[in-house]
Amino acid sequence: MSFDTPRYVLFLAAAVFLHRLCPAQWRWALLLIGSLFFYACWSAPLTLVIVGVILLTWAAGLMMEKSGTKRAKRLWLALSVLCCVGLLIWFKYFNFLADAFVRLAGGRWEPLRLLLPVGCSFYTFQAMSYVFDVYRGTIPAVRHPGHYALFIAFFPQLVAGPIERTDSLLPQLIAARTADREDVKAGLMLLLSGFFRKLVIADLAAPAVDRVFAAPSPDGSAVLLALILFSFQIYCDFAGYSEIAQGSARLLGIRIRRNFDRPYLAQTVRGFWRRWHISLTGWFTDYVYIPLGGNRKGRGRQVLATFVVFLLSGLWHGANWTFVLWGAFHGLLCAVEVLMNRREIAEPGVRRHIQWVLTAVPVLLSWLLFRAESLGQAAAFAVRLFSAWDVRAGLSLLGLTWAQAAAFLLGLSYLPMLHRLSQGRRISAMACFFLAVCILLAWFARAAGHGAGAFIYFQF
Amino acid sequence: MLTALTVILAVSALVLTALGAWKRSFLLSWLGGLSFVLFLALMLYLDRPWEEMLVFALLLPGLSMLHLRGEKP
Repeated sequence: MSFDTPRYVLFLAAAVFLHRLCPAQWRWALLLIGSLFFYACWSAPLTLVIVGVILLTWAAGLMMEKSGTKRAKRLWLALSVLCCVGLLIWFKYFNFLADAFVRLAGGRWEPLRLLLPVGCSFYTFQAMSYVFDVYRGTIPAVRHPGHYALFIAFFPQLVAGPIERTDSLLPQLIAARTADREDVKAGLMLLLSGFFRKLVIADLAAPAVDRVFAAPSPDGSAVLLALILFSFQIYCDFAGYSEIAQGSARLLGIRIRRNFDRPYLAQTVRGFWRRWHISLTGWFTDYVYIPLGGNRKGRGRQVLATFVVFLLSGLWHGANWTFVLWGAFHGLLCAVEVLMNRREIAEPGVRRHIQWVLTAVPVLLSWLLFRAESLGQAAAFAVRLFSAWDVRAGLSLLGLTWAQAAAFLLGLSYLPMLHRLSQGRRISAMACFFLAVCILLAWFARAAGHGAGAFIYFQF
Repeated sequence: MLTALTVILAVSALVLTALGAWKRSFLLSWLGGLSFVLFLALMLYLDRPWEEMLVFALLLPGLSMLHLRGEKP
């Protein structure tokens, strides 16, 4: 049940309606049943995987709290983390790792047909953050299995985050307060902004990007235009998803964290990561970067920790060398920034713009690694990018009609207004009405055969 | 005849929406909205592509925010 389908809108409306009717002490049960139903709509058998993760990490949390010795605590932590990571390795990385090892030995690996449970990377990370926090003693173990299950499986953020923390989400789920007028208003604004980003901007760019990446040897100008389109597609696709998640939760009276903050305005790559997929960056900072020493043990250790975090972050995105290299590239950029002590410039001026360009260009080029099917394709496209251009051929390969191109550009011009909407700032009723009509028209255009479907981050 | 009517409705939707927002007039804004709805109905009747309707529709949210002119986004 994808967020951009009428089925989800109906499901959300039913959930909000029943949530209001339900007595507060049973709301957790209603939301849990709804969340498991939501997940089962993707794949009923794989619901057992998430139930397994819930039971294991819940029990591990309790056992850690009961354990008298540090060693026993550590054992339960290791067991639960190994199970979560093992699950990820089995479903997501097994073929990739087996292929790498068999190739090293000079053989050829026939990939196993493994179905990746949707949202697996997100809910295992959320469950791991819980066991880490219980181990550190920053939160108490959750006694109620239903409350804990809802914390992991809460449907707005189940399939693609934001990766929530126990101390911020769980108390809200237990309190189960009724959404007030302000919540409903903010929730609807977030939904409007999220759907607009996804349907009007991301889905209009998607077919053109797909056409270029499906071409055997596209012109360099087509590659550059496809990269620019993809940079907005992926941003609006994921930020749109995150805002729909935030808006859905807000309609139920629950606030979940913001995942994006205008990342393309960042003046450093580190700044970009503070604004892009904020919940994942926060997770890696708290559970990998800081334990590795962070910035407390000298410049060398900081560079190493930064590089490891980005390498893992790249691998987290997918079992492909393109993602590993994408992560390593960002790690390298951040490491250089650490060594050069590069910081964002607050004062307006030319230096600020130069710094922005120095950040935007490598980030833009790195999307080539992210979007390419293989390292071979990425390398071939990079070569095309720096060879002679035939702009007319490039434009015709994109295959955009004048109306699609105009709609995409006009859609982009609304990004500041969407930021305003997601911040809950003042906007006229007429503007909301027109935005809603634009979303409907874009949805009809997509249904008529143009544009894309699923959210990109659902595959992770 | 219908094409001329479509153009008239499109222009009135743009002008009324912009004027309504500029002057902060509720009546003008909603007349702009009404013209827009009629325009869409006519475009549907004429079986025009969805993208063309979308391009036109995308002009309106910006115009309806003219009352915020000068404010930082």
